[in-house]
Amino acid sequence: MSAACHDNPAPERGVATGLRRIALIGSPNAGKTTIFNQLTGLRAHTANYPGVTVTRSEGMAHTPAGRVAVEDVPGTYSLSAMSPDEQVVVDLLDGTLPGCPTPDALVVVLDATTLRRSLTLAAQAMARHQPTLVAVTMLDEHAARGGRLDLPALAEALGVGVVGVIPPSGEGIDELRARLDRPQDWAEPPFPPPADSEEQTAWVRSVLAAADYHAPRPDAATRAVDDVLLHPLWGGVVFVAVMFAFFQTIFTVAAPVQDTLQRGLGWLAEQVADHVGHGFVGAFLSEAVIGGVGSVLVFVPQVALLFLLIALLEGLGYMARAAYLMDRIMAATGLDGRAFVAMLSSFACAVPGIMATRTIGSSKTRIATILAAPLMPCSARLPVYVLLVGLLVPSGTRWGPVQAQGLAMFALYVLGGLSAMVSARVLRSTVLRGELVPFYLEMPPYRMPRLRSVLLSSWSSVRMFLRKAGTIIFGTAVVLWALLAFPTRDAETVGLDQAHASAYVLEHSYAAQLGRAIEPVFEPLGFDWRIDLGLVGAVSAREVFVSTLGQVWAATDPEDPSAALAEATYLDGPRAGEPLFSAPTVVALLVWFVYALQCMSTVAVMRRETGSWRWPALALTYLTLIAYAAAWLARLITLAVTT
Amino acid sequence: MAMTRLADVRSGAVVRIEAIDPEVAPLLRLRLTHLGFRPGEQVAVVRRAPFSGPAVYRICDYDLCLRQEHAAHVIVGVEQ
Repeated sequence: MSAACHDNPAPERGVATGLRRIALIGSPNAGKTTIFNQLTGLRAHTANYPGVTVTRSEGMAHTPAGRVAVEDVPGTYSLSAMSPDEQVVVDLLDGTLPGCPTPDALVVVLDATTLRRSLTLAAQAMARHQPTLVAVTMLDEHAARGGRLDLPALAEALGVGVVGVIPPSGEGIDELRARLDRPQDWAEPPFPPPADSEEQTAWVRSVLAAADYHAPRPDAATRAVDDVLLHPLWGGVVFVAVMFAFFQTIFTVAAPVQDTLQRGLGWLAEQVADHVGHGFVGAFLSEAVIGGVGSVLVFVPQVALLFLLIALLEGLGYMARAAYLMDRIMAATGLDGRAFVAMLSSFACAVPGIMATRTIGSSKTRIATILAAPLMPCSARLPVYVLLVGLLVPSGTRWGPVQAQGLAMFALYVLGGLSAMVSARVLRSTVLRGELVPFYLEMPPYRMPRLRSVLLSSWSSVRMFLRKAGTIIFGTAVVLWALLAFPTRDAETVGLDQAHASAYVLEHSYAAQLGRAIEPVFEPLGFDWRIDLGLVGAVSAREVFVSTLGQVWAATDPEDPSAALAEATYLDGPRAGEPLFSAPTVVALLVWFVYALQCMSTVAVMRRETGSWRWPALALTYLTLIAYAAAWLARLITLAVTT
Repeated sequence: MAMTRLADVRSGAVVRIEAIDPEVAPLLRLRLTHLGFRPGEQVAVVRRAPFSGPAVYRICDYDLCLRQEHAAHVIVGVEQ
């Protein structure tokens, strides 16, 4: 853990202690993060607050007089907490969060166009009796829509300093930066605003009147676009079209890059084999390092594109609209509109999906989404499905105009998606029942996002994905490789060609012993030890199943392992001689892969995002049990239908 | 002037907020207030999603999407 806000006395990457600490408070969409990015540049540090699923961002602002620690407090409309997640913000400001000192001063970021609402937040912040500065954003948009605001008069009415900031042009940032130097000079609110909500309403009115505030007109273009995009019929049509384009882009644009990357890695592995040899070091480098980490790296183009598109849609304001459109359907699963984005991303990969749950306000909804996300048919399942469906349904089989293989794939996707919905529903009505936090969502005007902030936001997600590939995945890849490659059988494999030699090593490896040891467990599902060996390999990532089976059967027919696979029979036991990949076994395997949480990256990111091992442990348990039961049932049903 | 609940106001109407249901949990009341649902403010029902889905309200110069169950806590006055 590198969280600065943690038990570690000296976090290696956190913000140094002893510096002045300033907290940025503001509502979502107020431009707080943009100000934070401009103040701190790319040196922001993110981690989770202890014990909760809230991301903490802090960074260093370089001011004329030195450095100041800036903390980007999660966006909020209110400083009275309704959930443990919101309580963290309050505790942070109170200084009661272990390891997090009280901020020395507060900067309240207010959006000029929504001042009538956001002054309530300013009132709550000012009631905390700390040096306070107000930064007003969106002044350009405010003026363009006919609004009026006198900043010096606002400062006088509030009794604290006010800085106008227009993040896109950087206007006001330098003034803000200069003021960060001397928070001790900032005024503490001389006469704090009233706490009673009716008096607060009167206070807001008087401040607005004193500052000569004229509300901006509603954004006419946004209203007109929303008339279409949120239309009960056309809104749905556009939504489906946007989602279609979204996936088309992810899969078609990323695919060639992915292929190139795969070829590059293959070439690299060959180079290693040629120059380092097939010895221990060579095999370790080409199989464990390049093969293991490579299997994750090939997903990077897809994941990067996914994050880029989400950041773009979010920046434009379309994600809030999608959440509005999907809320009714998501409500049926016990989740809300915001969870939809996470579920959508999980189609590509559950890791970015789980990371995307950060926008969900309620922690119970968020954890339910995290636990259901691995059921969404991710792209790592695709190669497994392709292989197994190929064994189940001969290619070219058609029922009328419907291609049977395509239909089987579609059915697997539907099964995964529906299962995710059902499991969210069950979790929300059992272990994750209830929640006080209501679902509400601001519909900001459509805005052209800045390229820089879109890139920054997607890059920070990609970086997190890469860091994980570099640690957890690498670790599991090394362990698995060792299990598959040891003990070395140098004496036995003398004179064998390379495919037979590696197959021999594999069949007598520790992993194979493990496969045989667990054979009785999977015997009711029709799996033999070689399939179990594939499952052991797939513990790190699902698609490894394909390559492990490929390695096992490469010995039988090095030229065409998939043909060997189709003709495989049970080697021993009561079913000896019967075809191994019979319909019941293949169906059981497919169903197993629909449910089983065979992805260490997902487990790792669950741990990271929920801040505890409890939820990944629950996910592993419930998904494994369901996978086993469902695969067993699927086998029985298929047996009954086919005989 | 008659009282009704915001959840029951037709799309397109502009109404004045009279109160937040006193039966509502204090924290939820406070949150609705902080979102802008304060007695005396005007609120316009911009659009409603079909099948009793959420609705978009214009309150305090911004658009907010709120579910029916929560809009039902807001008591508004309608001109007869």
